[in-house]
Amino acid sequence: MSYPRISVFAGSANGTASPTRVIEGQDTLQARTSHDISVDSLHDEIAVPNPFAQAILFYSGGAKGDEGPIRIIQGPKTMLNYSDNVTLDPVHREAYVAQLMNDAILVFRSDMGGDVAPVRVIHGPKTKMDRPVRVSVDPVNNLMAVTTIQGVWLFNRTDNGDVAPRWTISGPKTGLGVVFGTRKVIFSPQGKKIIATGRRGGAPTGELFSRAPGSQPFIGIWNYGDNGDVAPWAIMPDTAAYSMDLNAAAKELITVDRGKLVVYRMPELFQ
Amino acid sequence: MPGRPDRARIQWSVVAAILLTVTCWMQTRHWSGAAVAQEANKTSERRPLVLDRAPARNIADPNPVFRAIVIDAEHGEVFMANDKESAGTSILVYPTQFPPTNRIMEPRRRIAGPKTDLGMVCGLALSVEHGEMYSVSGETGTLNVYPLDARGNVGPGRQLRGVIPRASAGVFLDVKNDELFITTEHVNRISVYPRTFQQDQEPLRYIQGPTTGLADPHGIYVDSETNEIFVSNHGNWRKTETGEGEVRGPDSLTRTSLGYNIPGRALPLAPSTGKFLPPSITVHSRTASGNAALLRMIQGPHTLLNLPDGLYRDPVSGPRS
Repeated sequence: MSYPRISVFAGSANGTASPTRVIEGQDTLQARTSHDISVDSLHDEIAVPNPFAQAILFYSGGAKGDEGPIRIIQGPKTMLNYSDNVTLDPVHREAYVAQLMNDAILVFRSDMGGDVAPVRVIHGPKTKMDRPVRVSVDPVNNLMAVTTIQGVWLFNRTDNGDVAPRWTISGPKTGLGVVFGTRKVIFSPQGKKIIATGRRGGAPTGELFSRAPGSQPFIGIWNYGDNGDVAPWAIMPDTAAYSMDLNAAAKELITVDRGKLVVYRMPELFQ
Repeated sequence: MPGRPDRARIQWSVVAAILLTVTCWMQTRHWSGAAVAQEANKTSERRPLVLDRAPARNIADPNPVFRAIVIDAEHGEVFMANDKESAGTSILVYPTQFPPTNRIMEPRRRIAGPKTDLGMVCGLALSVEHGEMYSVSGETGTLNVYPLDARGNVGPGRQLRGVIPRASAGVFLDVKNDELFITTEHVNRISVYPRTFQQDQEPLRYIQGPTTGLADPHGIYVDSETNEIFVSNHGNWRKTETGEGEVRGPDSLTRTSLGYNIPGRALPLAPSTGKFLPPSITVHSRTASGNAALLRMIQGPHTLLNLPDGLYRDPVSGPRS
């Protein structure tokens, strides 16, 4: 990001709308490389990572201005290492972090702060995890999705230790993997859908928007249970997103793409 | 005879029933297998449904966000780096003299477009003497050089790649010693290169390590008279090793700057070292190298520093130590 800031917009905002409030300034302890954000609506909290200080920051849902975090996970016991992502599970009050540097997923209590050890760690050869960058959780169906270099790995939400993934969506038919630009994967628990950005064509450089001729980014939608080298159930062509979320009440898919926030009405994702 | 047609009808009915039974058996004996195969085909030969959907709405700001500023007093121009993606990252050049206006002033010229390879441009420096402009990006791992009068979608005339860590924040040209200084926020580092670098140039020297005091460094200024480097720090600190972030393929110390197409080495899970320090201006020897301790630091509540970025020393009024 250009400047370390959390911007809050009205749900119906459109065009060049101004944010209703911003959280920014030295006391917020944000860094310019906070590549993820998670909102716990149940407990009215916002979480962002600070990879340079190896911390997870929690703010009050109504925070504004140079308001500091209400809680910070940071310290030797956390084992956080240059982690630029965080996902909250409001139902089970947990925070998930993908560790690019260690091929691991760390799970913390999200209502705890300070120098706390993870309650679970997914790590080891059976996981076959290579360069994980994001993690998402479906607390209803007890699933966890991890974006890895080769595709999307799906674990049981409560998996711990050296465990094999339950399913993997990976291979040329999927167009998925960090090298093809896949970042945040999201779940639709109602429709039992998995939504991720992928790319066909272009070199596997990690860029979402490859300039190579024939490079075609897309948002792909898979069904729960899809396993292996499986083409998506549906695609949104010529779209891509570094991050996404769902507004189930309005049946909307919200994407963030190169400084733009784009909202699509997508009832299919919830059926 | 009333009985004959009935018998014939019965015979035909029996034959028809047998044929129907055989047909049904032939049709249904592979049903379970066919169902499994169909299920398999559902995914293995799936043709995705295309949802070509126009956005319901979007939020985007087309106005630039300025990150770096540098002045060419000789030609009366000010160069500004715009790193905002929704506005198209660019370098905008304005005249230093202009009539007051309450309208948005268009730049005199703009450097932008895919050929420029600007990335999210964060730092700028100029050499009027050599007619060059230098840019670094918070997104890429290059230092780009453009002609001072560049305009439009032009590629860099020279580009430093080599081992330079990804995500630079500031760049400064020390005219007297003909050296370029670069800060890298991701790995708490100052790298020094000759201005006349070649594409794969190794750094002349670098400052990096736990005793340097560097903590998420951004702006940089070099005083070639006092031989001091001034760096603004946001205060986000973790222990970095000397050499961390250098792009050396499989021999790289970490995956920090490798990009995603090089596996690099996975580090074992280990205790975190990160902490928050107050924002600061650290002062280093111009010729320091490796994990060299800083000379002094400006830090504390009286400084009123708040995410400090740009840094400059007034050569006339700025007292020297």
